[in-house]
Amino acid sequence: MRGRPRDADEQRFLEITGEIGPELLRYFQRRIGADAPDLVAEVMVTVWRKRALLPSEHEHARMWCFGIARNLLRNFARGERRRSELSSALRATVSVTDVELDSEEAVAIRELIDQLGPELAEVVTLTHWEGFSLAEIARLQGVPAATVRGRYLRARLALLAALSNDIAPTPL
Amino acid sequence: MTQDKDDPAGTDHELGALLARAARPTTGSTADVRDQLAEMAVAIVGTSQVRSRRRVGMMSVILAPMLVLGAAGAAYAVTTIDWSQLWHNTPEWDEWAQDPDATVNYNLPGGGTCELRLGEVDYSPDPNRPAEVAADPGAEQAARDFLRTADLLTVADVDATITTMRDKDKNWAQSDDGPAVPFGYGTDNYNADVEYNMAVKQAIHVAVMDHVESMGIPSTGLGYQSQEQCTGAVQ
Repeated sequence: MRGRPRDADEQRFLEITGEIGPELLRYFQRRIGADAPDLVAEVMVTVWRKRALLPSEHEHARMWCFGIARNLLRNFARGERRRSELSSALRATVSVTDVELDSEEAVAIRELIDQLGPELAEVVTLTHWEGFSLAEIARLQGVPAATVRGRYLRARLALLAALSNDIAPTPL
Repeated sequence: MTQDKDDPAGTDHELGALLARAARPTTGSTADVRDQLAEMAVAIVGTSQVRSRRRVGMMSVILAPMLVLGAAGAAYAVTTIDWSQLWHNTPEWDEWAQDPDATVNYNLPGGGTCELRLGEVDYSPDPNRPAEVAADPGAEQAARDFLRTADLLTVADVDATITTMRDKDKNWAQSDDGPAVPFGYGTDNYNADVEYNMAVKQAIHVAVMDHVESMGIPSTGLGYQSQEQCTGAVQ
């Protein structure tokens, strides 16, 4: 029996979520750990609901999806655990494959990053964990690129200063 | 250190190494992960299409009599849409709305502004519902949590809801013994503020129900209250 033909919106949705799904999963895993699959599911539900607004150009679509992810993450940080049926299979796979233990050092550095405040922390983590350029981060944060450059430098100085016993800050 | 002005990820090795040590472990893009993400996306599309077929509805309101002055100077009675029936816009907040689960602010197409409050989530499924229609009291807490924590205007798709309402909903106004007249987009009785306000509430409703069902909890019997206060609206 042949399945129902896919319309253009559906095809586009499946393509973009297929491409950036793994990237979104890592984005959430780096920040919230085990609840990441649930937020990936929520991003996908939101992208589908708002598919009429999905940009046609691939990179813009990717950034748009990350904008949704970023908003959901901000709300998640208010303290709620969501368990989605949609993500149950992915959650099981991730929990099996996620065997690497989080080190004390990693926890300590993350605490330093948290102390930077949300805007500065987001700039350095999006830069070094996701590989975003500062111009891309500026679009996500809705501020001029110069502001993001300033945030990056402030975050850099603060982090390296906090770790000055181990790493001497490099003059800029 | 040399640092690319706009792309320090590839050049600021000192901070890059530090951040790499801080990152939680992640899952690789394995075939299993990709398959499950793809299945998730297909399930979302399937669920949404079933639900959107269910949502096609009809709305009826009452025609209000109104006196108009005719060309010859004689007053005669006609009927017009009483838009106030489509707003829950009272000067005082209801008791439950004093402590709502969510508050949303938005602008209307005509330049007015609204504050919408949502709360008093209630779970009361029909005890005589068909046996195959599942219900779960957990829906109430799931919906309440979502209202309290979600950025509702981010997750609710108002524009798509307007498109759906224009495509599928049929709206009629009917007086007790008078004519039935269509209203809404594409008719002579169109009020953009009313349409937008209805769409905000409908889109939020869909987002709440979608969220509850995406958690594997049936939304059967789930309800909540909403009330808005708008200024500058065409009513």
